[in-house]
Amino acid sequence: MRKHFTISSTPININEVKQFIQLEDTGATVVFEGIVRPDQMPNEEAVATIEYEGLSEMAISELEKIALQIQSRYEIHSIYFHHLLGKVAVGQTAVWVGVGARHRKDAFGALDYLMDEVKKTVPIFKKEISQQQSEHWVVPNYNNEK
Amino acid sequence: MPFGILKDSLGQDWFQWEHEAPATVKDLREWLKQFPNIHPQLPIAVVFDQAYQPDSFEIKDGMQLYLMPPVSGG
Repeated sequence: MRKHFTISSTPININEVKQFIQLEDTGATVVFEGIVRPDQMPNEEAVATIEYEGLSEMAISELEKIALQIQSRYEIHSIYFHHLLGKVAVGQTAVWVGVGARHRKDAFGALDYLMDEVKKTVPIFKKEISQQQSEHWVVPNYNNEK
Repeated sequence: MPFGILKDSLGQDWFQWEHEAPATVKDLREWLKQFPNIHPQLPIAVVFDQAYQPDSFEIKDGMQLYLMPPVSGG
């Protein structure tokens, strides 16, 4: 399986994902971009920016483990995952993901599985920052973040 | 080294922990309960050598550990 995992402060172009995941015998590609939403913070100020921090080397290691799980569940040819660290403004992309497979169901299923697992084990943490510079760490299953 | 909300709760980017041997991840978690800014319900993962470690993991002198709240990437 062709894999590419990056944790970086440099944004990419979505075409890089498409080019990487489409191989000769690929019949389905699914591409996902995670975009920073203008959510409301607990103090009711609107999110202007999210700042991501993480442990890159361990994040890649966790992504490799997830890829092995995906291989045992879905028939896919390729996975691309690129997550930004640092500040990302509302409306900007923070994560680019792509999966290539022979069939649609495997591609959709694998990408969905990948994102679910990323949100469980990959050591990346986000802090919401408002225009007024208030800050709020997002902690799932602790402050009711969905 | 604490990450995310733990960094703010502890008020520092790193700290040194002293404990009589043998010490485990469970002992470290117990010690962290003394910090009033850390919510008692906050799950804290302890990472060593790029992997999450269980309560029974023995912490030895000189180990660099990472303390992590629940992850929130993606």
